[in-house]
Amino acid sequence: MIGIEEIGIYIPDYRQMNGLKSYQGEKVDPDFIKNKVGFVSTARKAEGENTADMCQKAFHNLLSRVGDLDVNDIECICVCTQNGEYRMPHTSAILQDRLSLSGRCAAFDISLACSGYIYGLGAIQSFMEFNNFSKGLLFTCDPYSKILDTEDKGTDLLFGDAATVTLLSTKGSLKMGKSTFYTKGASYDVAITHEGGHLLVDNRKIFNFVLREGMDTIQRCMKSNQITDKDVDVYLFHQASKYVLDQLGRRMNIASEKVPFKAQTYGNTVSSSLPLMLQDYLEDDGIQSFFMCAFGAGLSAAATVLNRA
Amino acid sequence: MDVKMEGPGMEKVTLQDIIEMAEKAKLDLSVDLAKMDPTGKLLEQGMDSLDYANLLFEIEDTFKIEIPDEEYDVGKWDTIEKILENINDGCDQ
Repeated sequence: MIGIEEIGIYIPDYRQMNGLKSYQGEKVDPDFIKNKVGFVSTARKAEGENTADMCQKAFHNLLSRVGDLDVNDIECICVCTQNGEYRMPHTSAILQDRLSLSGRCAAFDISLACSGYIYGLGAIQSFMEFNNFSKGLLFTCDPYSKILDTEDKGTDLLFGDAATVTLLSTKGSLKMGKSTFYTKGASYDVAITHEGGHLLVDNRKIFNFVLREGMDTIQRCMKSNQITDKDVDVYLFHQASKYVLDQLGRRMNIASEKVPFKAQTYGNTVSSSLPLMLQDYLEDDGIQSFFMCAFGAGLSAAATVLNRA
Repeated sequence: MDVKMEGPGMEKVTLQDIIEMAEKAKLDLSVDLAKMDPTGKLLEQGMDSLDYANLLFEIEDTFKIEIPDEEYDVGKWDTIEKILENINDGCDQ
């Protein structure tokens, strides 16, 4: 059975310091930023740096962690992004060349935002198991700085750029359990980018979706996996904002120390949010069971569990 | 707390009910609702946008109502007085 073996990450060096920002002549409140929104700074990719470049850097980080990965053994790659190198072709095809992967390697993109990592894990794991593949890579990279309106504090203060790559293999010891999903297509325009336009987000509706449909997704996932809070060592919730996580954890009566908020210095990195946190826990044997949930554009929510084999 | 919005003659929802609702739900608002001018806009009396969204969410769930986007957007729910009127108007229907 396929499991997660290792994760590589890339977060650009540059940071936008949110406490110093002004919008329409009005300065933001640094205390509000730090204590409520949570993102003291957000990561921003360099000018000219694009999605495949960032994925490549995450891959280099992966190589430094794995040591003996032969690129010819990679049988499939998947890139989760809605802001790829080009509108077409798929960014994973570009990566196949950049990473010198075999021409026989399958490559496909999936178009999902914040819920993309959980969907992506399910998609690539199923693809690999159905085709008897032993090694595959799931990339996440959705640099929203490409589409942000820098005058819109509702988005400019939240989103950061990052990339991750998850190595899935038959040696992977972190196994996925059952997943649950929610799709609310009637709210497709709550987080939207029109052709050539900027990202538009109705944060209140996202908040309501998280606390209603997001919580429903979590509860169904726990039931589906026959677990309760005591079976979960850590909850990795999509880092939408500190406030959202606080409210979610509070309403679900989860001890705050089990719901980490780690994105203070880099922001909401869309589908990279969960794997960025997960990398930190890979070598922590004190954490045996993970519960992950993510929610965002679609509107879309997904939840799953990971357990060490 | 569950407030049933059924039929005439039921008790009107008061500010105290809203305060108790917020406490029970552990909203941990950044302002004291009891000290606010009920006719003044909440966002102009120190409540931040996140707490405002959270308060309205809890009101929707507790009183089993849905705040239409158009009412939210034009500020029909932006003072304590309007919130109570809107909730209690629903009871009277």
